[in-house]
Amino acid sequence: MTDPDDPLTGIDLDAWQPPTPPSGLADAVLRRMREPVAVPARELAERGRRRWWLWLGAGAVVAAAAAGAVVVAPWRAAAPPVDRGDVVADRASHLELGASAAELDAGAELSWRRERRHIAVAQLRGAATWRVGGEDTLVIDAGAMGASVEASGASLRVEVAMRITPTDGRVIAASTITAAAVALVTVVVYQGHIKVTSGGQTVNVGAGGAVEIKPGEPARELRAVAAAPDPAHAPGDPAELAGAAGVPPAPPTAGPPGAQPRTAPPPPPPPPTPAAELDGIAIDHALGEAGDAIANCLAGERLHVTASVAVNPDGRVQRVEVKPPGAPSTCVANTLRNVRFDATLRGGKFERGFDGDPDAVPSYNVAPSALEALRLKGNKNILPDPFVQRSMQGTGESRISAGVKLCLDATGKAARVKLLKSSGYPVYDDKIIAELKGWLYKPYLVDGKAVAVCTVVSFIYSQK
Amino acid sequence: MPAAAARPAAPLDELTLRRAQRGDEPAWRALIERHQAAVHAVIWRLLVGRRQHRSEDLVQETFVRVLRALPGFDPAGPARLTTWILTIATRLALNELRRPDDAALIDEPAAARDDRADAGAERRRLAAAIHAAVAALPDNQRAVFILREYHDLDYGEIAAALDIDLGTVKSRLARARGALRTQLEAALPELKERT
Repeated sequence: MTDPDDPLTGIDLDAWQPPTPPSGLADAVLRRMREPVAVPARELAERGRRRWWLWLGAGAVVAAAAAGAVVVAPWRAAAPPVDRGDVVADRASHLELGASAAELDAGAELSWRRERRHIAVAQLRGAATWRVGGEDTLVIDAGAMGASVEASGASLRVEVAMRITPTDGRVIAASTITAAAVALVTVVVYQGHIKVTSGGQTVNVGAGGAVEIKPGEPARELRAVAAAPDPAHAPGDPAELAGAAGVPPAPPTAGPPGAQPRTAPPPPPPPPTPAAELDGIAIDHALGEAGDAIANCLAGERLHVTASVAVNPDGRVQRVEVKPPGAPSTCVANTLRNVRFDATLRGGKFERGFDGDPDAVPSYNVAPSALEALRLKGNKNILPDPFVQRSMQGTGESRISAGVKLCLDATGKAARVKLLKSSGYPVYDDKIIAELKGWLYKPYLVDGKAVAVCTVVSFIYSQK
Repeated sequence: MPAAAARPAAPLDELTLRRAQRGDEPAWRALIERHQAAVHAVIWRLLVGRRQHRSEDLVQETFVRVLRALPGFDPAGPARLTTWILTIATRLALNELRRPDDAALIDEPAAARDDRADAGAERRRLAAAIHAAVAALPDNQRAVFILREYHDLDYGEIAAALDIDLGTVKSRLARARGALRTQLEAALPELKERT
């Protein structure tokens, strides 16, 4: 096919050729194919149809063995969908499905497919917090047991745990294993309301409600996560915290009349064993992000502070208390309020101590104008090279801009340079970054002491 | 007019494709060897001037994803196998370009300036000029240009690969070509005289 009016006609574009592909590529790929599958959760569209059915089928076999029933997914015979994917989250991951999204815990495994505004999900194992946005309808077959969780305009968490339980000598396939993997599903509703169908019965669950689903049985209501704490639990018990801290974004009364589970629950079941309570590793992971800021709060202080933090099930901080009172503690508390933890079934709380470093010098964010007069080396007038300038003429752009975060050490040397806003021309971005790395300032002084500082530098280039 | 040399490989025969979809390793190898030049070329060109050192990793990653998703590929569907593979490669390369990088590397042009008056010197200068001109294009224009000029995808296939409208494909392609023409003429004044 030729394109009329191609301005490149007559130019031998083939003169520009890539090098020869690397040798041994096929061997390397085949080696990787023999490794276990683990794909990032953001990989959305290219997954295979057959894998979807295989996973669903495999999950269904396990569930059927446990429940003694073969389950056929309701969408099995549907017309070919437009979008689908399989995800094995090898770490905590974000899965975006248009207006809806999920935060997946590490180990979550699911397949999804979207047909217009209908999203069907087979959540085979692991935990995920779902936000169903826009006009989407999300239907989750959790644990591949044929029970469905249907949600619109809701926020919920679904945890699928495969439990090995002893059986009464039931035969699985051709073996005589006397234990079966039983999918146990726990659903917690944070916002909106959902419909859960299991064992031939459908219940509505509103914000603050929670249900447990077992293969072939009606969903059982669990104690609502927003309920008052049970006095029978000792202080500090995770269940108590669920009552205190697990306040969902919308109050239970926000749901329609009858939004609470309609099942007549037999004796209240014991609270579910959470699959992902806060633990030391999760705390360290979340606090790692805020470590620099906390150290900065306590820099120059000979001080030990203790923070008590309560975290909501959705991972947001619900309450922070830092002792002893004072400006550094307030700074630490403000920093901790913005930390985002992994979502868990009931949230949690923890205490953590932080030591100030009397010899450390805090770094400050300063306005660009505060540094301007201190610059010893570096010219802000960084021009894009002629290629970019001509490209702008070709595309009709008259103005481009870029933003860069520049951090200086206490001596005034550029320590870190990070691109915050691209100019749209990678070559120009790179040129800016490369030049900024050579900039030098007079030390920035606070109370006569040189400190590390960060600022944002903007670059605007315009053509007339 | 699309360049001729790096056209996609001839389609894999139906039997080999079916065997590959069933997980047959020799068929996988045949598929990789058939498409590796095109996949490497599209990734290397998309990363021009930025992260070409990542080309090999991304080529490998592309084929891993292709093979894992292959059972779901419908040979009778709207996408050719070649287009489908190039789509995956293109999206991986564009994702790579979107990643923030504090220490961005600026790759050197493929052909250095060479003023010797031998037969290949002029072609090497042209290659270096194209390299630099394509590197200066915005990522979204570069992707459209490369898929059209070097991989012979039609407008509809490019629109599907990049998830954009047909009109956007046309406008980006026109802008890219215009910008390249301007830059190439500036770098190589003799082009202006020739046309």
